[in-house]
Amino acid sequence: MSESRQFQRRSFVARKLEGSEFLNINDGAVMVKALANASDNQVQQSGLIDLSVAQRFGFRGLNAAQHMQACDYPVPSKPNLCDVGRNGELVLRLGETEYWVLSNPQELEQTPNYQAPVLDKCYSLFCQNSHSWLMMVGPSLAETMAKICGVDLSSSQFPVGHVCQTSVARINAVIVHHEINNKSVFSILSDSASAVYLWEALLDAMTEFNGCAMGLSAIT
Amino acid sequence: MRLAAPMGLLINRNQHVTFKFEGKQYDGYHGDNIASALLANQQWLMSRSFKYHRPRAPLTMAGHDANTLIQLGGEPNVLADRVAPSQGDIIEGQNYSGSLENDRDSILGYFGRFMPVGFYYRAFFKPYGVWEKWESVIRKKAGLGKLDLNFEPEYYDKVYLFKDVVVVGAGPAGLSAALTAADAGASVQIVDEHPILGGSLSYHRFDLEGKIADQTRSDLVAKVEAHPNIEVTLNATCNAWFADNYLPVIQGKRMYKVRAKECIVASGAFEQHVVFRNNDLPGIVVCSAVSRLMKLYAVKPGRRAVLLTGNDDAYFTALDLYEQGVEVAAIVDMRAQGGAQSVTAAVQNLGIKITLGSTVYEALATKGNKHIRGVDVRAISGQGEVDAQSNLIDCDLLCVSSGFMPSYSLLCQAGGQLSYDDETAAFNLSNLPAHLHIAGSVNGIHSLTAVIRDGERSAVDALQNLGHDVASIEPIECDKQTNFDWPIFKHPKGKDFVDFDEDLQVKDIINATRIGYRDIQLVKRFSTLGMGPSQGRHSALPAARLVAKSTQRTVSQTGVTTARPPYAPEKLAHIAGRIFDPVRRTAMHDRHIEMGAKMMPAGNWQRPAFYGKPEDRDKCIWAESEHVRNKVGVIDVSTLGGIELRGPDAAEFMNRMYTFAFLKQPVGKTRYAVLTNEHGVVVDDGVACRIADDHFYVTATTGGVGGVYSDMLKWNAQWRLDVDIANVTAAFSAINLAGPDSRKVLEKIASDVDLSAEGFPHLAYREGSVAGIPARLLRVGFVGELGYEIHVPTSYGEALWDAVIEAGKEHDIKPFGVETQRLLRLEKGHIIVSQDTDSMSHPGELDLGWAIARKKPFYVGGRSVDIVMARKQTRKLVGFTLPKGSAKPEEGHLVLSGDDISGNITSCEYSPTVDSIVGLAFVSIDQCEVGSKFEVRTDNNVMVNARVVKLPFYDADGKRQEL
Repeated sequence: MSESRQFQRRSFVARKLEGSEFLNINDGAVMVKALANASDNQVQQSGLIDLSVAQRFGFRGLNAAQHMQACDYPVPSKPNLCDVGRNGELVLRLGETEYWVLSNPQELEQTPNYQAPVLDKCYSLFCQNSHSWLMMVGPSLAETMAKICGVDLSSSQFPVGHVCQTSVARINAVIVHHEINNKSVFSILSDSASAVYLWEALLDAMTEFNGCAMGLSAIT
Repeated sequence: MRLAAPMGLLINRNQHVTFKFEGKQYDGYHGDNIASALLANQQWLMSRSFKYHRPRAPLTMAGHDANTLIQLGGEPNVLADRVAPSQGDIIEGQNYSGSLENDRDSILGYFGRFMPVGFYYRAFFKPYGVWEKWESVIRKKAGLGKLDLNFEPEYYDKVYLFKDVVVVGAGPAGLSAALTAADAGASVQIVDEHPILGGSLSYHRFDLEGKIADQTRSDLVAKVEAHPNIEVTLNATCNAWFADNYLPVIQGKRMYKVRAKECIVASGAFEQHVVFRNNDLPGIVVCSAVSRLMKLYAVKPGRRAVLLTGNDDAYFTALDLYEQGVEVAAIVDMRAQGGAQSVTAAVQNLGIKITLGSTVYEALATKGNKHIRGVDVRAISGQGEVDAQSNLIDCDLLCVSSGFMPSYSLLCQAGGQLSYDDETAAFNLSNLPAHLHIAGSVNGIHSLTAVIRDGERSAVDALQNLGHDVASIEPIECDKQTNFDWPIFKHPKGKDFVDFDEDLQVKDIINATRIGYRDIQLVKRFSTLGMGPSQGRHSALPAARLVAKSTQRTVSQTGVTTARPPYAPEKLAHIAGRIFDPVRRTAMHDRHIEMGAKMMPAGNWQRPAFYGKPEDRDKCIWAESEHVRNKVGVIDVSTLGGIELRGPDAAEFMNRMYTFAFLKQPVGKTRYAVLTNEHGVVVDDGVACRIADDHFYVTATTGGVGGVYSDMLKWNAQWRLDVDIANVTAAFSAINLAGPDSRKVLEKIASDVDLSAEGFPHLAYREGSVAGIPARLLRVGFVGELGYEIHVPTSYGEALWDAVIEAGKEHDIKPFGVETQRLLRLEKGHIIVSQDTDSMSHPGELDLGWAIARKKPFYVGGRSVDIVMARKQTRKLVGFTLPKGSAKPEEGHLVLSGDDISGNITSCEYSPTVDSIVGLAFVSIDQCEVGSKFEVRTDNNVMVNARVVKLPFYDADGKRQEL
């Protein structure tokens, strides 16, 4: 499909990619292949992928960890770490009592197991809509982020499996360092209303590394 | 005139660069800077001095003086000895009238006696009004270079760098420090302002054979370039030192914001000139400048040279000059005892004459002071004194070296203490903060072996701070003397320059002290000493000596002026970088643009003000408001704040936060929620929806939700209630569907909600699906018509908008903007917190007493509200009208009571519905009675008489919103 607005759920960013090939994920559009002249399969190249409509959810509260375990998700040992679920889901621990679950980026059509909280002191969160999900791929992740973020995100200081909650281009963001096909990627979760602003700021920062918008085909 | 290889380390003789200077074409090589390319073509004159318009040429060839400021295309004040020419560049000199060669303003040099130090502070202000006459003349003469008013902004940015060790300076000390630190495993960044590694090793001669520098440089550079732990940033200036080793490093159009755990400053030392008459003539350079010219750029600097020195370095320079075919007429050594025996013998063996205990008293100039043609050499008879007998020597090059001044700027910015040693006539630095180290000549170490060892020592100190287990190195000693104690020879005819940037002569500094400015800081401000582009690199030391002598103090007591960032001039573009200005968009943003909305900022958000052309603002707003009143309109209210409160104590929490009662609010109902702060001031309002016994969804104002949310977290940190608080503003998109036909529109797309007046009455809350989208529906009437706020997950926002527009087509639905909504709510007398309130507004002033539950024991600000409302009231927010056609007051216009200001307008618009101007205003308590009148001063002092009316202006019984 080539029109992101055919879907009920719409990413802020997808509208900037009209003309690309989209896949229906969770009743929303995820770009599969970028515009004609982009080279999605070059993971060596810096790229930015919009996964905003991909499913994600979260829980918060004193019993959130218990609920996560009941749902068969791993519970990272401390805040600002992430783990990988049985089906490749990313499980983030953002605070003492807050957890987010992100779809396996390589199998977005397989929605993760969401179960509404049944325990007291466990509340579902709104990260599906409150946050956009952008994924930065390529060999220059830390160098790119150094242009817009004051935290050292080099792999020695920010290894795979770590989460950083900081300011990126002057807006709050959650940055997750994980791997796709054994290569480092950064997932960046940030205010959905600022998604277009951040998308443009990130692409601008990636310009000197030949960065461009990419589709799912770059990581699958 | 180029020298043969191996001279010319930086240039590529196979790659030519052609450019124009002052209209004439010049040919240089790739690797040249503008100055070296010009000097290779015998073009010494590059600029005119600031005050006397004297011809100026390079002094240092290192970008450390202001003599080489040129105009490069549209960019003024470019350092010709720092910037490389590009093919086709158009370059001009600066600060002249007529031509660079024949500057009409050079006549100012003859009027120096009428322009004494600080003359502009003491002239032009008497008699009264004379300044207006002088101002245009002075402004025309002031400033350097020409601004390109058609300049298009260019892309500059900033990048963070994080390193264990940052080494500032890539000379022998810096390179050895970097290697020592990197070998131990530290990540190291080397920063140097020059285009190659090596510092003085790349141009200076350290031994008689002239071999050790090349060998050492080659060895160190090879190791550095091969080292995996070292990164190098060349052509980069570390422009400041800030706390905790936060270093702004400028390279090209980028500023690196470097965070260094340890910082080693190996920035070297500035070679100092000698003060004598005409010491600024083109052809007079410091010794290191000719070394750079020959070694780096293969430029033969002259035919016949004289060297004036206070140390041995000039002897090595003489050897270099001799080897490159420059006739060395004499070495004039200010020291009575002369130099070391080995160097003395070496130059004497070449037949070079050495004159000890003497100085150049005056440089002799060609016509128009364009170049040096000879020197008047005299024996030194005392401190700054010379014999009457002169010895004239012809020359076209004079190389001077009176010693070295540590490059202290970064270190003094860090709090380092400069102390002057009378024995060595040199400054040294101490009291540096932890994690900041110095090495090499900036540390007063000058012999090459000691410099390299000092670099290693500084790295070891840094490594120990980083926790590495390395053995300490004792402080390095160096007894090499470099500085002559008094290289200042005042001439009765003046033009003996201390500060080239500002054309300050010896008498200017002395006179400043005689006038009463005894402190070096005051001398600086009065005379502008050190305030030019070179920031006192060559004037600080002679000025300190002159002030010390003139005020009968020591140089240590006098000190130097405070070093402040930046170290070198930097552009505002570097400071600004790539500006990040976050913008928030609603999910429907693109639809608004497609429908012709005039967007406006609301905090970080972009919102449609109205739909139509900006010049048709009023007509658009009136048309939109009439449409809502008579048919149906839709507005994007996604920016409205949303806060989710869940948990057993949610109702108790609401009850404590807001003024109304919420414990018994029924599920499925909404309630107006007013928030006051501890001072009883109304700070926000919204609508609280009770979704379940333990679940509230409360809205807040667009601009206020961030503060409300953080206040909620703050209060519950104290109250410890069992409630989860989430700011869900971005998670929900919302529209307000309003107008008599709104129910008909909604009925087409909301199949599972009973929308009848009975099933979904005014102020009720429902959940259901709208166009298949899960939705929260609030029946509220901010604009005073039958209306529904529909809140959906943000990702569905645009689909909701599309569905509503499609469903509303048969009812002629139209979008309306924020400006229209403001008019509609004004007609209903609804306030907007922060527009119709200020930092003193309590509920009583705003007629919000009905929204306070007085029987409940506590709410935030409750006690203050009781106190302020019990006091005698002084003002009140009232509605007013003015006849159509009156001068319309604007927000902020003053309300008057006689001659006194009694209040201000907060909102005012022409209402087509009421057909008059309506508004809200704070007035004094004696002006607030319905029917009374008050004066408003509008634009151009036009006074209007407004009449207080009962609110609302429209639909007083509220029937329309309760349909």
